[in-house]
Amino acid sequence: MFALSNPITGRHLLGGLACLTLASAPAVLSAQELTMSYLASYKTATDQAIAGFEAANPGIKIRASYTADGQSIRAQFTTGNAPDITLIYPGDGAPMSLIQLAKAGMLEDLSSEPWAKTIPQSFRRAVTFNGKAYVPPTTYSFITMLSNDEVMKKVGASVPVNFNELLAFCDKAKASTIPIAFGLKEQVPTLFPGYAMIASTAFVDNPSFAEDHAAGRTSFAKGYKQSMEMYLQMRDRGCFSRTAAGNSNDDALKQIANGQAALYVGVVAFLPAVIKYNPDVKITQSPFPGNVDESKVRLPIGPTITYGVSAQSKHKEAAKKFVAYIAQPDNLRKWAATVNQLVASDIESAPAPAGNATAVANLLRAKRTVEYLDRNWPNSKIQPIYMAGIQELLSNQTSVDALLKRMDDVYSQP
Amino acid sequence: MPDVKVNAGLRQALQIPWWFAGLALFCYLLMLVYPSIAGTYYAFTDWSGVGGFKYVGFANFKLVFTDGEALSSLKNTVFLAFTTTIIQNIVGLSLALALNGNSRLKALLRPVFVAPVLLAPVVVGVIWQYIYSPEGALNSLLAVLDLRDWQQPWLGLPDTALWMVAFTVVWQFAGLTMIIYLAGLQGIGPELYEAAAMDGSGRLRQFWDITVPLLAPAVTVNVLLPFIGGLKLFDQVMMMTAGGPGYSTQTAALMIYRQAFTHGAFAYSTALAVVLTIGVALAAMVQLAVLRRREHTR
Amino acid sequence: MSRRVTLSASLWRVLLVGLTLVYAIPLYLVVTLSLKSDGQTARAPFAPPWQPYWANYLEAWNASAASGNASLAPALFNSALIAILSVLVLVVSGAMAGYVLARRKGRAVEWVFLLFLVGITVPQQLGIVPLFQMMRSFGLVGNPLGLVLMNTGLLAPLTIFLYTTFIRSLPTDFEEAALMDGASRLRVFWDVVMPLVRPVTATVIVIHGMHVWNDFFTPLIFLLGSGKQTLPVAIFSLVGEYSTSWGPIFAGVVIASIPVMTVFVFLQRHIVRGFSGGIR
Repeated sequence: MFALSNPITGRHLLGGLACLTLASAPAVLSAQELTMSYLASYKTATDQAIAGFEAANPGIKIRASYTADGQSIRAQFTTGNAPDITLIYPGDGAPMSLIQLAKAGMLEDLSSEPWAKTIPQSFRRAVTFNGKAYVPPTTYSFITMLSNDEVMKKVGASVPVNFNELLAFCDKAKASTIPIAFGLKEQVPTLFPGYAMIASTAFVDNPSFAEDHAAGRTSFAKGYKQSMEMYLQMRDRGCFSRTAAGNSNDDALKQIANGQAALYVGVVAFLPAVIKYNPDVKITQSPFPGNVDESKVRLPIGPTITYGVSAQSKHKEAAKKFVAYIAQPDNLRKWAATVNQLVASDIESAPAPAGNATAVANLLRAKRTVEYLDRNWPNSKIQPIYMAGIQELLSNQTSVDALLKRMDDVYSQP
Repeated sequence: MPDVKVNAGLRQALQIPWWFAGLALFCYLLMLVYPSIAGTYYAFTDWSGVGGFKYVGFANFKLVFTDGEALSSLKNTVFLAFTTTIIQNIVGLSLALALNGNSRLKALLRPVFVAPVLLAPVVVGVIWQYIYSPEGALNSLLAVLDLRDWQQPWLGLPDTALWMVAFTVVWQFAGLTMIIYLAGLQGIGPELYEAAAMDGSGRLRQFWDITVPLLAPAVTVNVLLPFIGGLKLFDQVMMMTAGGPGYSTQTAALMIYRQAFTHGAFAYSTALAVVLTIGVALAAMVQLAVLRRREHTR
Repeated sequence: MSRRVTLSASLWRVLLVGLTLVYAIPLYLVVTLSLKSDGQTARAPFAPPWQPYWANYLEAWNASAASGNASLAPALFNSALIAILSVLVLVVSGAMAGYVLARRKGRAVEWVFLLFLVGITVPQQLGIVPLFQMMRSFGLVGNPLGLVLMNTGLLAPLTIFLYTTFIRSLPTDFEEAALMDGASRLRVFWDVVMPLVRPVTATVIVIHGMHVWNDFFTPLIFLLGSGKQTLPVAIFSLVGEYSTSWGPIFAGVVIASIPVMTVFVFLQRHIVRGFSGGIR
């Protein structure tokens, strides 16, 4: 193609080779590039951590992808395109949960990391599998009920402290506002009131419900029935808006922030988003009244999502460094502050959560808490069935008994 | 007049050697034939993608027809295939009839309907996901028209969500249906209409007696393609609803993907795929038989 | 001009206007929303962007470039690479196979042709799991060339059907003449047959080129997370990342659709001919 009348001389070749070598030399000394996949709602906190980590470790660069839910990350693990660092839900149940991935051999064993020696006893079960530690406990969160003080005043009611009061509140409030903002279009929001009600019913009547369930002494049909019927009661008394099924969780947050709704039920991590939508909003936190008897109300708590290293990673040492960076107390505190959650290592002393949350703090201190339910669900099929089932239940597409049966059928599958 | 010996030699030479088809055959056998056969085999096992597996007979297939989620996926898939085909043909034929001609205006309008055909189905999904969202264009439009009562969470209610998906697919591909009908229409000689007009037939009569029968080949293509495409629907649904709310918009193709790559139930996923394949093959055969016959008898 | 089938009743006019709006408005929205900030979108979704918010485009290009799966720059490159290579290999391998099946005599030819035809209706999902296992053992997961190979196999049936039927309808005179001149069969194929089958080649380029460019299912499985994803996968990840921040999302959509729309504007007639080629 190049004219033969200009033959390439040896000198040209040498020069070209030298240029090529110089151009590619930085590749040899250049940064290691790591990939990470994480939850979009934790983007700020994670970006912050990445910036700090890269500053302290020149030579390592992290490219993070954020998604709204972990299912596509799970697919990446299946197809061998897993990120080096990944989000992990402690415990079991979700497709991206620790137990599911560790069982399939997809996570790197991090037991020899420095932070693995100081895991608080309360969270040991959630971050280890077969005695090996795979992820550091980061923060713990709980399911709280946010109430917009102004709207509550307009309705002329106080925050309900038991389930009957909640239903009465819905009756009263639905004329002038949305009693409970609910992002029913998405699946995860169904877990928030759900867990709270199950924790305050099944687990109060039988604190060892999970163990009995695993041993076959009880079932979903026996334990969860009451909570599902309570869900239906909430719907029938008008607690949710007519358009709840088309609202995303984000829409619900906007509603409570902008005074279009009185209450919102969700993990405390969503509070900063509410404040971002309306910096002037006044929010009170209370436990969700999941039982007609106030003394039986329990607060669902659990260690929140954390960071794990993929077993397929080609940059394991660098990835482990990042995880260790996050686990350092100072960095962890910064991370926790951004996501408005409590640092896991503080669980023993249970300080009060920020904001107007005395009722919640009381429950925490009294240890009237129950672990997030999916920690005890032995496979990843139950949670999707529960979430989709609640959506179908609330739109009259299925019955309580049918849903319970599906969950029980799937419980014993591998 | 070429002599017989040369003819025989030419005939021999035109026996193109098989290696001409080598690359195509190699890729085809490796990428489609072998995996399809292997997939059908795995459907009879309990393979989870890793490790060993054992033969379980028809257990997976039994599960397909008893599992609520699988049954609703199949139901959704068939529903989408029928509704998109029917509506797409109505719209496509109307557009073809209305835009058949050479006026400036018609030539300008035709590309408007063809453009969506070229967009990625994922992109079309994003566009309509916005339009159907609670704060999106559709609800805004209803507000402007003072029809606030009609505002809905279009993709959030199980009943409406599936219809919305169907409309999105129709929107994207009606232009393709139109093109094919236009090609068919332009193949009908105008003298047929002139003769019919001289015999006193009105416009409607001409439509039924001339247009419809002679469009039969176009109809064949325009019924077969959207129906089969509808049975395999994945991209738009994955983008707009990911199967939700609940499983009310999950299609067979979506469930096959989920079961294999998110839940690791490889064998179950392939059993579902086998059922889908049989369905597609049956639909194609039935439609071809019926439509080809219509083509020839008119 | 000869008389055409036209309908001009006012009912048709109304219908046409309605349909035109239904088609034009979403396309209009894509462009205008890509130039509005979230606040502007919330307040007046239908208004034209009097103050274009170009930051959306910067965001879609740069911010996503810093991240992984939603990166548009590598996606553009990979989409182009895979589409061009796939179509090239498909056309060459398909035309050659079509030539054999059209000209060669014998029972085996009919069987092989049938073998290819069967593949037209088989859905991708049937073999996707074993196909994935196989590609993984070859180390081709996460590799765009693996996708080229797959496309060649998966799209071969229709391609070969089109080429075979078309070549069968061609008289053999030109080929025989060339053979008499001493050309090899490969020569005959390249110099005589390929130019004659241009209509089919155009159809294949249009239909399969578009299919590969817009393909979502296979790249989702094989390229998500590899850093070498294609545009549809990048858009999918972009929406996952920005959820309801429609400005950057639609900016990404515009960027991803510019290549296709440009081709459409300039090659409209060829594209339409390519689609309707199967009818005539």
